[in-house]
Amino acid sequence: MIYLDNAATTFPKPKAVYASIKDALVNYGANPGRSGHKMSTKTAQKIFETREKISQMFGAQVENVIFTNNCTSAINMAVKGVLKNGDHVIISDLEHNSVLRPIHYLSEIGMITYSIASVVEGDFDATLNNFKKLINDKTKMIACTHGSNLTGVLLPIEKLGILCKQNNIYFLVDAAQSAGIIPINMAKYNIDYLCMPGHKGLYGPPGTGVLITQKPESISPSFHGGTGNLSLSFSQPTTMPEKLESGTLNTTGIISLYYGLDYINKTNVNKIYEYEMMLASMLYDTLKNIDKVKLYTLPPKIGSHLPVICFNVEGYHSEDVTEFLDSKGFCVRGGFHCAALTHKKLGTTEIGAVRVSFSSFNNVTEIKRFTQTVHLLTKN
Amino acid sequence: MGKTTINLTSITYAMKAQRLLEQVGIFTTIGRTRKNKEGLGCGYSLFIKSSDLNRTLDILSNYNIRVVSVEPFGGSRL
Repeated sequence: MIYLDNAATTFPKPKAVYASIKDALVNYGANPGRSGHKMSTKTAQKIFETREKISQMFGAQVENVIFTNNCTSAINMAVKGVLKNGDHVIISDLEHNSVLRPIHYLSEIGMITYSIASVVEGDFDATLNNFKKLINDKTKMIACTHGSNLTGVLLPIEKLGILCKQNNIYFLVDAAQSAGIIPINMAKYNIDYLCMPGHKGLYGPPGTGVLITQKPESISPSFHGGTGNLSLSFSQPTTMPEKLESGTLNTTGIISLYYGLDYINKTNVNKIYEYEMMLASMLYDTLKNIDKVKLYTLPPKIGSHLPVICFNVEGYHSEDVTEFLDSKGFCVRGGFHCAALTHKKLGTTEIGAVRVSFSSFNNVTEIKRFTQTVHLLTKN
Repeated sequence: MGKTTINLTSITYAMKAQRLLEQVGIFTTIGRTRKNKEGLGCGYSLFIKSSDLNRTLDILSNYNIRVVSVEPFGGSRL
C-alpha cells in the first residue's frame, strides 16, 4: 500500500509516536493539572513540554498554546469567541469548510457579514489587493487558510499580517496544511490566531489540534467547566490556557504529539518542505505529459505552493479514478475535499478532483509507480 | 534553611516559572496550593528557598507571571 493522502492525515507516523501512545497510557495515566500526586505532576510536566515545543516552533508564549480536538475546533473557538454582532470578516475563495462554515453560520443567524477575496495563484500582490479592497469600517477579522487543501496554492500570509496590523484587524490563519511543513512565526507574521491539527504535518495522532493566540484577552471561551484551578470560583478562570481549555485533556494524544514535533525538529521543517516539494514537482511534471490528465495549478514552487497536487482524468469521475488507484494499492482522495469554494473556483463541482498529498515518508519510487498507474488508466 | 511558598494561578504558570528560574540557578518544586489568599480553591505553588524569594519575585514579575500570594512554607498545612 502506498499512502498519498497526507493532507487528510499523515500516515505512517514516526515510530516514536506509536511507542509513546502505550507509554502515555501506562506511565502518564493520571489527570494533569488536577492533582498533586507524582503521576499527575509527571503527566502535567509532559503536557507542558509539548506546549513548550509548540510555542517554540511557532513563536508564541507557552501559556497561549491551547490544546483542542482538531483544527476545526480551534478555528471554531477563535471565530466564535472573537466575533461580535455587526462584525465583518474576509475569507478567501480557497477556504476549507472548517473556516467557511463557522463564518457562514454566523452570517446565517444574522450576527456577522463576510466577503470572499479571490486568490490569484502566483501573484501575492494581486491576492493582497483583493483582500484590501474588501476591508470596510466593520471588518474585524481576516480568516484564511495558509494554503489550499486541494490545490496547495499558498496565500501571502506575511503580507496579509501586515495588512491586518495596519488596519487594526484580527488575523486568523488556518494552518491545517502548512503546520510542520512550512516554518510559521506568529510574531513575525502578525498572526493573532493560528489553528492547526496535530495529526497532519505535526505527525501526532488523530484527536489532537492546537489553537495559539497572541491576543488571549480577545477570545471569550466557547466551553466552560473544570480547569483544575480556582475550583471554588463559579466563573471561568481568565488566565491562559485554562480560560480556553476546560475539561480533561487528551493526554495520550498530546504526549504522542510531542514525539511528532520532536521528529519535525530533528528532521528540520525546511528540509521536509523541500523534500515534499521535490516529490510534488516530480509528480506534476510527469502527469502533465500524460494525455487525458488535467492539472489545475501552475507547476508547484517553493514559496507559492504546498506539496499537494490535484488532477482529473478525462472521461472519469474523480471517485472512479481513486477507486481504480485504490485497487492498485494507492491511497488518494477524490470527491470534494470539504472545499466547496475551491471546487467552485476550479469548476470541478460535478466530478471533484483527485488529490495527491505527500509526507516526509514518501519516496521517489512511490511517485514513479503512481504515475505509471495513472498512465495505465488513461490507456484503458 | 527556610522555605517559602509562592502561590500561582495554574500548573502551566508554575511550570513556566520553574523553567525560567532553573535557567538562573533557582531550583524549585511544584505542589498543590494549601491556602489561596483569594479563597478560590485549587491552584499550584512553587516551593523555594526563602533566600531566593526576592530574586524569584523579580523574575516572575519581569515575565508577567502573576503571583497570587506568598506564604511561609508549611505554615498553612492542616
